Amino acid sequence: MKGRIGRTDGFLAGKATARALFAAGALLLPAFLFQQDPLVRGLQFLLFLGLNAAAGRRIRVVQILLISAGIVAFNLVIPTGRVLLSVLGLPITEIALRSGLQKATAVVGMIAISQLSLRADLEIPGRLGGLIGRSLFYFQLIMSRRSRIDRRNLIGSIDDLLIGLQGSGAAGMEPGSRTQKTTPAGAAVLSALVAVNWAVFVYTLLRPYPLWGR
Amino acid sequence: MPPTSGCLLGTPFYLRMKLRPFDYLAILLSVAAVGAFSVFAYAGRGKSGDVVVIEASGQRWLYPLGQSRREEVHGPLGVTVVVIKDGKASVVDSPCPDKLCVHMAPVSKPGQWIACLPNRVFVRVRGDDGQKTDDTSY
Amino acid sequence: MGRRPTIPPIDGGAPRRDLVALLGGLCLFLSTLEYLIPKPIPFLRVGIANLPILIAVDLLPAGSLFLVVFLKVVGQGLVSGTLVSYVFLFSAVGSFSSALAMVAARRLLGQRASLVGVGVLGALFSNMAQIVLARLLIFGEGAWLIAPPFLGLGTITAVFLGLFAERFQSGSRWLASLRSRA
Repeated sequence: MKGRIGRTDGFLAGKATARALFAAGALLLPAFLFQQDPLVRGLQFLLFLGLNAAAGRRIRVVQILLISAGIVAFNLVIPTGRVLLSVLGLPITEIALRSGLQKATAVVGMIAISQLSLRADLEIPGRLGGLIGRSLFYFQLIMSRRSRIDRRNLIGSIDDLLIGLQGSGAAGMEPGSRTQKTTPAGAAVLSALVAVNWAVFVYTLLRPYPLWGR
Repeated sequence: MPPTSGCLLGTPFYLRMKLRPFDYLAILLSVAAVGAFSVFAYAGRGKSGDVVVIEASGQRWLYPLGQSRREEVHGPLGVTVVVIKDGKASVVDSPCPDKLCVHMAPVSKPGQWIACLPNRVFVRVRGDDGQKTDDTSY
Repeated sequence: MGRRPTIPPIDGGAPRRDLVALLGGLCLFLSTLEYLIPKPIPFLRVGIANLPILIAVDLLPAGSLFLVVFLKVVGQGLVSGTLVSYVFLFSAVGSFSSALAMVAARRLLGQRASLVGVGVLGALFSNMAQIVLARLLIFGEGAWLIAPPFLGLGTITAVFLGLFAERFQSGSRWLASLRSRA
């Protein structure tokens, strides 16, 4: 049984299978995560963010900034390294800052890659896949009935909703629109994306910190 | 059967519901864990959370005493080597003629310092009043 | 009303699998709900998505319970698109250690603890595991600084969740009908 996770349009819709997209994402991951230069990572993150935006996904800038700021701040708490500047009497140290930027970009970058590579029609094979699909189906079913929950009779209304669900599991689910093949154009775009990131990664293996400077 | 209606924060259920003995034990365990982490995070770090300040050539470096490291500091005469180990900082080598700094005892408490005046390197332990004492120049 | 019966499988376990899927979907729904509730502090986590798991401790055998946790975690990852990220890792580690602690608590303590105690223990281990993970992956030594309030808040929310779970358990006709099926 297949369930729709969410949007089926988006990045390379119609031009690549969900599996190809997922494979591309998996390949991008090491080339991103092992990148040492935080500035290069930042650029990579912006690239993935841009691709997500191009795919039509809403970018929550505030959330991204908050998460990043939080992670960097936590790493700056224990000062380490050369003092770069002092903000409100608190020192910003080089090694702590770099560590914080590394980790912050890792988190937001991974989320971006993840959103880029997971598409609604990704099928997970096997019984487990069927189970996942079914639970997503129930999720959407409950979501569609959520207005039945009454705050004044919380337990009772939830109870009723749950009772109402019984027997729905056997009902059919809408097969989402699926892209069957990866077109040459789609394959080219994905390959280029992976290749560029890996090229940059290999370059920084030879010349570490090309942008951060050492 | 107890009524299924009633608002979530209504008092009747919560007053009627009796917590069982191990519920209290679980909560106590959690409180103890919070306490243990508090001690570890806020008080116990007093020593290893202290920061070593190295000043030379117009720059400042900060390092936590708790992490072992070896730093090379550049001055007009050459490289002074500062080592942080076991919560103490010391100078192990310096290009000055009499090497007074190398023979000074390792520092670990706020306020203590080692200086290599010929090479213009100054090593001290920062206390919790942090920035205020940092701003002294020599 | 019996307190610790498990649901015997009918038709080779299909109804139980359906229940597992339903609980998984319920977890997803609750986590979406928690995400949408405006919170004063963005990082405050109430954990209502764990309620179905807490209630299911007395309903399902351990293996099926972990399956629900799996569905919850993977489902969250797929729906929010964060499956391949640290977020997923934290969610997985937190949820699995919570379920593990809850099952162990129930096995060891029997009925001497209510769902409050079980939930509190689950939250304790879940949060401790996540703090260690945070120390290693994203926060560095600074992670210990938020450990006490994080654990403290987690305990408080766990108590309230446990109370709600107990209340739901005693008043739910849905649960009653599940248990009476033989």
